[in-house]
Amino acid sequence: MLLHSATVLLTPALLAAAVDGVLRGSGDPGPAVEWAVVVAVGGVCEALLMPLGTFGAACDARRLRMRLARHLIGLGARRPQPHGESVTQVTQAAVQAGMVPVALAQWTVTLAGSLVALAWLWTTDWRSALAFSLAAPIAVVVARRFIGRVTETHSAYLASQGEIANRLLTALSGARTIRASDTLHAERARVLEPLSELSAVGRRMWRIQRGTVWQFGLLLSLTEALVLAIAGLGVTQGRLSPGQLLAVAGYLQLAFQALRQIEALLTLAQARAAADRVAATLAVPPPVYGRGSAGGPAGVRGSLSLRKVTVRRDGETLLDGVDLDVPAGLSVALVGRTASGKSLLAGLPGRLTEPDEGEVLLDGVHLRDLTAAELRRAVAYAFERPLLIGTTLHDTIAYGRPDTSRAAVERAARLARADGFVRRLPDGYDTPLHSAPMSGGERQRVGLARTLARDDAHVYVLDDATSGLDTVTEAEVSEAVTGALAGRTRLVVAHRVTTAARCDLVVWLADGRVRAVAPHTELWSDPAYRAVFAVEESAVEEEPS
Amino acid sequence: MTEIADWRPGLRLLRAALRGTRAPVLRVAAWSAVEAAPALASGWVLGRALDQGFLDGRPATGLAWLTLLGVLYALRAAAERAVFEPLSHIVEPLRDELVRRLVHGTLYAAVHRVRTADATDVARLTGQVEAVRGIVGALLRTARPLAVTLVAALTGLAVLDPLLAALVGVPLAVAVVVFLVSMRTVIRRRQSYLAAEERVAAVTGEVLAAGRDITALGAEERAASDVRDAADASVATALAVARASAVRAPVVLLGGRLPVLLILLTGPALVQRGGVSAGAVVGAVMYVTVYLVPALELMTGSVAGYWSQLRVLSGRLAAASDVPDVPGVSNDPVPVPAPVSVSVSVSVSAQDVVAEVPREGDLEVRNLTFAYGPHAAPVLRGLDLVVPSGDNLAIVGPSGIGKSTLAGLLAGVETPLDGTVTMAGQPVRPGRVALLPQEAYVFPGTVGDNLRYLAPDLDTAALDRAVAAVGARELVARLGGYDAELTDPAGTLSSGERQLIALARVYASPARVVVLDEATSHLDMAAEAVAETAFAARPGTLVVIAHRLTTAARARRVLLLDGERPVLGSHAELSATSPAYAALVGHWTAQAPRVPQGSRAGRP
Repeated sequence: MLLHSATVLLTPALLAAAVDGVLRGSGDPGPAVEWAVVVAVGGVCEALLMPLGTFGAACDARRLRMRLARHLIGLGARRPQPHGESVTQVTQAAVQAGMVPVALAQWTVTLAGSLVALAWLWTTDWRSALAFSLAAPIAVVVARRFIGRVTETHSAYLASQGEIANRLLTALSGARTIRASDTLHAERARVLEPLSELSAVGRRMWRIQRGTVWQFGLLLSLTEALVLAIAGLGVTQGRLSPGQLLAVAGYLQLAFQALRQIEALLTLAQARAAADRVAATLAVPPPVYGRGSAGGPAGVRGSLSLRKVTVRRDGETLLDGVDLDVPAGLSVALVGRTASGKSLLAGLPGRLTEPDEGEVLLDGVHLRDLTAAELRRAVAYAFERPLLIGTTLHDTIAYGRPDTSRAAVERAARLARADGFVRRLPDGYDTPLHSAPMSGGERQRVGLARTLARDDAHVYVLDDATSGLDTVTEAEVSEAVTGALAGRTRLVVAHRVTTAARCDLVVWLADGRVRAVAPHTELWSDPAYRAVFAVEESAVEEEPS
Repeated sequence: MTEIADWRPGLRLLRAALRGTRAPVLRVAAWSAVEAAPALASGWVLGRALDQGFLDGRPATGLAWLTLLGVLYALRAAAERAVFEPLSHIVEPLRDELVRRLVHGTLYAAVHRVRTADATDVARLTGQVEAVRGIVGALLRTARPLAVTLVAALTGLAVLDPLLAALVGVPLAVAVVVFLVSMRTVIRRRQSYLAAEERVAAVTGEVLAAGRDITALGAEERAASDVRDAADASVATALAVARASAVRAPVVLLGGRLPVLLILLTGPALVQRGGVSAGAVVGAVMYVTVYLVPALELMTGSVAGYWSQLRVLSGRLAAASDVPDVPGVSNDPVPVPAPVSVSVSVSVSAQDVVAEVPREGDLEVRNLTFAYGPHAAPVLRGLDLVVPSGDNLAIVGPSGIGKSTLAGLLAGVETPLDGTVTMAGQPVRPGRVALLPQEAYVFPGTVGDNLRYLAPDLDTAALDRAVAAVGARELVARLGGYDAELTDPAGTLSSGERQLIALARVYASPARVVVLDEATSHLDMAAEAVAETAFAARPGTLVVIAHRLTTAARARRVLLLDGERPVLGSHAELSATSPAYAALVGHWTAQAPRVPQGSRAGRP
């Protein structure tokens, strides 16, 4: 880059010598050849520099991308912004922010080059240099004001844009309802509502640019005319040769280059806004894991203890000082009405829910002291709506455990009753996930298989993981799972009576507190407990037939 | 090696989006001519200033010429200022139109299931619209003066001295041809780069969407490695683009530097022969170095980059905003027949309507056959079913048997392979039957907006009745009433709460046929009973896809979908006559042991 700018800086002086040579009528092609060599070297430098600059920017972008992606993956479900914004940050903002170092480097070299050019001007013709030096500060002031205003407006622009994207996303999630309600046109209007605001901010950005660009243009052009006039007088007085007049014009262009980069400034301003967004995400503290359990108790493992666990969300207390002991190896149903805190509690053993107060212990060890690897090995989850990810179905079930054998995958799938429909797919377990259309129940079964493929965990948390199955299939899956996981601790979020009845113990939650811990049969005599599963009998009896 | 994608759809899209911008385009063109004036005159003026002024010992004349240059510069600044106004009138409407088309195309495709789009696609499309906006703006700002400058500088040069113009023009023409040929590679590689970037977006979107699952699986490393692979591929393709673009340096050397060398080498001979003045040589070098070289750099640099990007991006946007002709689906709002005035008040019962005329609530299914593809096994085959107005039908069966499909067919959302579904003698169509899917759709807006979604003119009293009927009163009160703004319903409301709002919405709608497709699945049983009882008492026809026994037991009739032959009857009839139903019921009742002291049924 330095060699390149050196060639650029030499060019006007050599050109001046060559032109003067021509005008003097000396047949010596020496100066012209010198000029040509320097220019050619400059061209080669540039041809090399361009891929280098791109490479640098691409590497910076990649580094930032990976840092951001790792950070977001680490944050898991606790991301500070909507999904779309997170993806945009990785795909776009990181690239823009990644350009900052290279853009800054180019900016610095250009600036240094301009300073050298200015120095040349001062030594060759101080009058011209003075004219330029008077104009430059004004240009800098104009530019600074411009950057400040553009950054601000650009943020407003991004906000309106994000609003449209989020509205569109919401509408996409309701595609079936929209189709059934025939409300496509109303939805279109609703999504496009912020467009007028976007347009207004967009026009404001143009106005800001307009104000700056013409001031800049006029300032530079008039300075140029003035410098040429001064240099022209110099030619008359014999201070300068005609070739040197060209050199003055050439160096003036170079000196201007630092100021002329409005586009570069704009890009830098946008990159700065992008970098700010990325920085805000990176500033969200990731979950902190411990150094390890240092062995821990041997023998049967998987006992869980909750000590005065309180969880709040938005100022509301959702779990209120919960004390609970789950002995190792038992199956425990979490029962309670909607919003009683079942899923929050189920999130505690795997730190998917972080307690605001109190602590959670696994085999007597604080969860915070376990390393991420220890925690994930010890506690496995299956969800009501599993998000499946992976290349093939095999990869999906073995996700994160690349050494899982086909036999283990098939065994897990059989337990989850997913084996049948997977085999009917065109390439069985090697069918790409994207070309395997699945119903909600089928996805649940593949998700459950993914959990069961981790057969070495001590605690299995099944968070409504079979809700999408019909009763017959659900009963089959439950039996298979109960058999396969005998002796492991199971925490089962249960909506169905059978599920609760199948467990060794029921933890009955109400309003964020544990109301009772007892076997299902004992609790069943309590009408309030039956009411959780609700009115089954009365509805049947009311039925007029 | 990939072929360059067809440029025509993208071009059509841009042309359509730029429609109506003729006036600003003409204004931009006019101002461009003014802007070019200094380029046209500068070398010539400088030559004059030297020959007649500074070199001739008459500085005043030289200064006068340079003053003229100053005036031209001022004129250019004025033109630069003026050009922004029409520019914004081209670029902003272009973006507006692109956004409009994309939103329509994406929504339309998702609603009619032509294509699906997720968060990643939306993020990508947003980025691409912005890129097109930026590129068109930049092209108009930088490339527009480019052509004018090239022509003006060459003209100025020709006026100065035709021989010098030839020395400049020939290498320049060769350079431009070389450059245009190299553009093909650049465009192709840029396509690969864009594909790689899309892959990054897709992988990132997938990985981040599955955040909770990846945490729970402890699969952070695997997820990060997926993103890394995509990011690495993107770096490689970016580098390939840069390498192909590096051709610009030799092109500038050939077209911009070689002419100067030629002038310098032949200059002595030309000046001595007397045909060319010293001022003309200086002026010619000025034209080339101050105007031609920057113009060439611009053309081979940013303009080439912009152009290749624009080609690729507009193609992508055209694909996403494309609204295909789906047979039987009109792009325009379907004129809804005069709505039957239905009071939501429960006092009007379906029985009040005269039975002879086909009633708004009569559903009739004839020989219905449906399959998901031409080669797929039919999900339904030759189904006949009549659901008279006022009926309450529950559809039961094991998962995957086609219950949701039937719900979609009854609501006119799915198109049957064969057979018909009619309501009051007319084919059903979206909008006439209210279908409530399991995933309740609640959008950002007020609670009232959401409740009035299917009946915009509903008064508060009617809303109150609907909200109370489905058991959502407590929820609405907690949210802050009908005027409360729901900014992020997907994030702040639970699935069950969203289902309650959607239930109230459908209850308040004028639809005479309601199909609930597991629409109460996230409610607890008590809440579900309240909602279903309310819908059963609501005038009109109710079809419920049931996933609990209670739903089937509450219904007047039950349709059991089970393999080859669907069976229809009351809960009691089916329990007595259908072994398949009895099996289902057996499982269901096993769930709810009526004798609490009984052994833990089903516990292995």
